[in-house]
Amino acid sequence: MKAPLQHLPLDLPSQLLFQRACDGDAPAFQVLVRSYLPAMRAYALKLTGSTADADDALQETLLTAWQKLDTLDDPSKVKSWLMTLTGRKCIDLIRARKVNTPIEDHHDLPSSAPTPETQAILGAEMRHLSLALKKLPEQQQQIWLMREYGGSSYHEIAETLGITTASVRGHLARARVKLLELMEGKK
Amino acid sequence: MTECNMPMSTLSNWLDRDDGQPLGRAEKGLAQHIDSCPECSRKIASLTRLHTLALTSLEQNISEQKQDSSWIDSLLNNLAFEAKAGRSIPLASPQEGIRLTQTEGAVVAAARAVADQLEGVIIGRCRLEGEVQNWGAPIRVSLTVSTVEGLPIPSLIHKLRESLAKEFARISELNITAIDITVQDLLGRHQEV
Amino acid sequence: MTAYFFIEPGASTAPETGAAPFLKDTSLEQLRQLVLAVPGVEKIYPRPSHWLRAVGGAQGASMRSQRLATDQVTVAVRLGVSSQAKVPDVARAVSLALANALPEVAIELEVASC
Repeated sequence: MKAPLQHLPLDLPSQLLFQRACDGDAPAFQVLVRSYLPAMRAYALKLTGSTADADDALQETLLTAWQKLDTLDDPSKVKSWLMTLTGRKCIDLIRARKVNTPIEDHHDLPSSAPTPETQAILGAEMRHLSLALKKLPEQQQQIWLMREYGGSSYHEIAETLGITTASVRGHLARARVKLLELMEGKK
Repeated sequence: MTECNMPMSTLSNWLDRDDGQPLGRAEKGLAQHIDSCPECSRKIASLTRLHTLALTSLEQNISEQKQDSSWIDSLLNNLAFEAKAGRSIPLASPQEGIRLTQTEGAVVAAARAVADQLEGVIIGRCRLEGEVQNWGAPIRVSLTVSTVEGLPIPSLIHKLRESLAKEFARISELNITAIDITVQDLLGRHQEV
Repeated sequence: MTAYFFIEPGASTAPETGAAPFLKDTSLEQLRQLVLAVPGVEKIYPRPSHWLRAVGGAQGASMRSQRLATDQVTVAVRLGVSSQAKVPDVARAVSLALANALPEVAIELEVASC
């Protein structure tokens, strides 16, 4: 087989990359998703709480995205589509993890600790938010992250978690109130 | 003074409204109330601050990911992006008991590779339109290409058509009735050729 | 019911009970070499994962647990063809070579890259 356009210029417009990726050009797909991977990984890390799980979820996300990219009709929707897919794969993983680990191991997994450098950089407020988030009940935490980090709509969140949009609205409001209370308490 | 009993879930929902859509009547009413109610204004301000903090936090996390991006290469290199097969295209069989096919993915990939070898054009979309799984069915090849600024388009397209026709004859037995090429400039504007 | 045997790049798909009866004097390894020797053949691909998921489970069980009855046997292979060769001709040449080596067997061949 002739080698595909191996050295795809990274500045090929995203419209072109999208078309090629939809039609099965793997290098084009990789260039296309590359720019969104940092956001996807940051999101997956927050949701799953571990680097190993986040990377597993990212692999699943990319494989599914590769197969299903041609179901999108609009290249401008790629980012939000990838983020929603990431959320879905993380939730699947979290559920599978629950099934496979004994009940005693269900304490909160800490998210990857910030390095000393980032500790210094993180404002006090963001640190408080991070700590407050861990105190939320699991479903509220997930819904909040899916909305604020993942950018998913109420409908997408409802579908992924198998609950109603009304339920999402309620949990999200409670999560926000709780976070505000916890953070007020630290002042 | 009576306390406003607007539920937090209503205000929280308000925060998530789609800015791209015009406000409905109920929403206009809510907006007016928020404007004139100090308590609700305060609550909306708190919720907005929290949302901004979340976005800043996310941006911070994203920067951390970008600091050392070696994980990106290992992630992508570890995955096998299996060529998408697409539909199954029949080839003429030499005898009873033998069934020969090729994948649509193989045909499209080969066509794209040949077009990519041509100076001055880059293929975007390449689709086979028609019932490729049915032997002899009429098939249209539909392509979008971008061309390099400054090169004469008609002769580029002519060369492209020739190369593609030759390649299709080499790789398949499809009954190709037309090769439709749409030229888009690098910004995606179209012109039929 | 059809029993499928894939000629694959590495491991063979012979059932655990030993060489497949239909093969007689030929081994799967010899079939693999036969295919690769045809001009224009670049590589053999593993069986597609979607095939494995849809059929593999049931097929695997039947291969392990029963002696092969004289139901239809199909030998299948997925090929990568050279970018210089005439693809349909190569496909036919490979399939005829296999058919000559395995007279009572159905042949299925898919070109997955060219």
